[in-house]
Amino acid sequence: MATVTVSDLRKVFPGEGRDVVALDGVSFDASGHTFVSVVGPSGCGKSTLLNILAGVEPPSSGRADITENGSRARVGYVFQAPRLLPWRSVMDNMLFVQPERTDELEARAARYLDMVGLAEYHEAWPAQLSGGMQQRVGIARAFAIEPDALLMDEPFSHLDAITARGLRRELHSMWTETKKTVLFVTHDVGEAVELSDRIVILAKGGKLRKDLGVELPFPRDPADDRVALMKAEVLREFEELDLIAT
Amino acid sequence: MDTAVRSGRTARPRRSWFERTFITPRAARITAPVLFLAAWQLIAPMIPSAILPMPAEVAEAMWEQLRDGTLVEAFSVSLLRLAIGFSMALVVGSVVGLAMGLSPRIEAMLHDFVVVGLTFPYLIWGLLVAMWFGYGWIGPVLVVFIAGLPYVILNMSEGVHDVSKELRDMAAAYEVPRDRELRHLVIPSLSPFFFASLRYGLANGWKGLILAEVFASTSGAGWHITSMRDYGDFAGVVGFAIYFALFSIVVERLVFGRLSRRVFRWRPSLAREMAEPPELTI
Amino acid sequence: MATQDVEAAAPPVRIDTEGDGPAPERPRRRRYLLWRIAGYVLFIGAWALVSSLTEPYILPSPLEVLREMGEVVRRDDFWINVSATLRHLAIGFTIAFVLGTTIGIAMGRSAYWDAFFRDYVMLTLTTPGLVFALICVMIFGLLGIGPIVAIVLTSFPHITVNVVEGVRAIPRDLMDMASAYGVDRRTRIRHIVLPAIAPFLFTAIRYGFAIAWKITALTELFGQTDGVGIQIRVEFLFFDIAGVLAWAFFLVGFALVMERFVLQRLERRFFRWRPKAFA
Repeated sequence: MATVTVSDLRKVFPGEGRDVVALDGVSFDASGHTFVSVVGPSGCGKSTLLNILAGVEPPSSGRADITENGSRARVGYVFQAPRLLPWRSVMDNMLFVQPERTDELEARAARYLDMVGLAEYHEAWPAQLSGGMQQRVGIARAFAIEPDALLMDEPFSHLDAITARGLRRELHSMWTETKKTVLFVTHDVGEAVELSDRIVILAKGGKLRKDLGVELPFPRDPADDRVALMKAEVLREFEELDLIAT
Repeated sequence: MDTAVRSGRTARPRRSWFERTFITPRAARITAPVLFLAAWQLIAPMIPSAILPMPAEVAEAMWEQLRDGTLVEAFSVSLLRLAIGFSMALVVGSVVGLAMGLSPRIEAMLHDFVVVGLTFPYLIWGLLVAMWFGYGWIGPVLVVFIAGLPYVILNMSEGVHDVSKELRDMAAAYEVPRDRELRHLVIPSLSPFFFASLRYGLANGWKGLILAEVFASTSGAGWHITSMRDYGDFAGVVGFAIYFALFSIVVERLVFGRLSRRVFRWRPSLAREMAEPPELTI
Repeated sequence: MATQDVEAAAPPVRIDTEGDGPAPERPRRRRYLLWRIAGYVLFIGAWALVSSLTEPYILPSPLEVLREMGEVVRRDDFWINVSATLRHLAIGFTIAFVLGTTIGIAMGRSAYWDAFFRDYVMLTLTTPGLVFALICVMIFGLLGIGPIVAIVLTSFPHITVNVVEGVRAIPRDLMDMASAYGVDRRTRIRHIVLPAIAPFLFTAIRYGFAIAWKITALTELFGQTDGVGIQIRVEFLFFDIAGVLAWAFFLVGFALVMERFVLQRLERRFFRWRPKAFA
């Protein structure tokens, strides 16, 4: 069971003249089969949080890690842009992040590609796929390493509403099936309410504002009253934040 | 029903047989040299033939150069010098370029010299190596090295800057081993720049070489064309010039065109043109 | 509280968008100034060392070359030759610019003209300047316009290729927007076409100029008309390495001054509307 631990996390980027604080004393935990959304306005350090958890960037101080039974967990990461190697085929992109190149892993990668509806595109170049299809490859890539936890950084924000909706459903069913710990960064409150069982709200300046539980049954229809109410509650939280910020 | 009606624009007049045959891009590539030859044929008689030889005389000179082996000998000597000099430039330039790309300190140290290297006229290098090393192989080969070097350095260091940080972060997040990252991420990302190094480095090495051969050797294509001029063989000079032009067309189209299509087959529109050169500060 | 100000004051620091993180490590001029100076010191030191180890006429020391440069400037014919070269350059480059731009626009707009000129442009870009210099001297040398013809023939293709790129970079979407609003042709050219191709024109001038001054010296050297090319030839014939180096530094200095202080300044004035990041 994967455990995400963030305690008193602080990240400062040295800027020209003045430093920029991206995260300021953020703490929270998550573990097991849970879907945590991190929402906040642009510039509040959401992506930095994921980068630190993924080990791409070091924290300035504090601690942020993901463990599996006490040792370092294997983490899948879906980015805002697909981040595929343009010069490698879809399948080679899947295998690029696998620990080794075996028939078994190749079969597994193929299975996840099929799952996101790309069965016919294993040998295509990324540039031959649409934006939505590229993002599907990114998602399949993250699942195909069968990670203990999954980090997602606004994965649907560049897609059209219809494609995004379809992918959200797929993501939800994959999450239910695989029982992963998911940390999902977004600025779309509706998306957060639809998908997650917990919402962490970050404010500008990288401070943790609120940690909300969402106890509604799945599937959640955006038209459902309770879903709409929850969305309104989170949005109200934001308006208060805005008042503070401006 | 005509297409013009549907598109709502003014109707295009129907193209005549003549236009459809001769006013096409394909025909233009033949029309251009034919017109050039025709103009030459018309103008040449008005100028003393010792200055501007007639196309027939030039053709004869070209045939002679081909038959007696002058052409093959001159070009093969030059190409060998080019190969030697440029391989050295490629090795040294890649190392220096990668170092400059990776270390801002080394870049600060060498950048200005690379810019001056790009600007320095090959004429001067040709004269200098002639005075330093006399006639022979050292001078011309050295000029190829010097002329190609800054292009290799600049392209390789640009290439290092161009390796996507996003992709490298992705690889780091998935803990991709270094050798695999090098093979699948860094090297493919550098390859357009390496390619540009080859192309611009070779083109400029060639230009430098031809000039250096005039002053610092008694063989090679550059020396040959100059000595023909010194002996007053003007038809020979023009003929050799045409061989130079044909040579560059063959290299561009057949060698680089094919190579780039192969190397960049993953590109969207299969960019048939070469990888865009990074902008050079000349 | 300070962080909010930062948000407003320093928008280029994008923390939360893709391609995030602080600005990538590009050499910051000031920070690496010492290393830059070290580069020069090392270079001049190495030169002085080699020159002290060899016969003075093989590699004169930096100081000697500097002295020689002073001497060259004081010679009677210095300004005569320099002005002759500048005249060749100005006339030739102006013609090349007009010709190159015209052909470039034709090639950018029509597949026919593109095919017509493509081979010529390509082979001129790769054929050694020597070949052009020899032919031009041969045919036009007696008329005294060899250098000018050589400049036109060799530098217009560099202008053409950049203009073609520029014409192709004219934003279709803005042109469509303009025609949707019924904007007239003149306004469209002035406000969309010209700003779009201006950067390419600047690049065209820079590349074309970089070729032009080199071919000028070369053609003058072979053609034995007036100009700095002749002077360089004389230094060479007298085996005066310091003299050749002196002229080399004049030429390179002239080119760098034109590039840095004239063209780049002009460019910066022209493109004030661009965000700093692209400058």
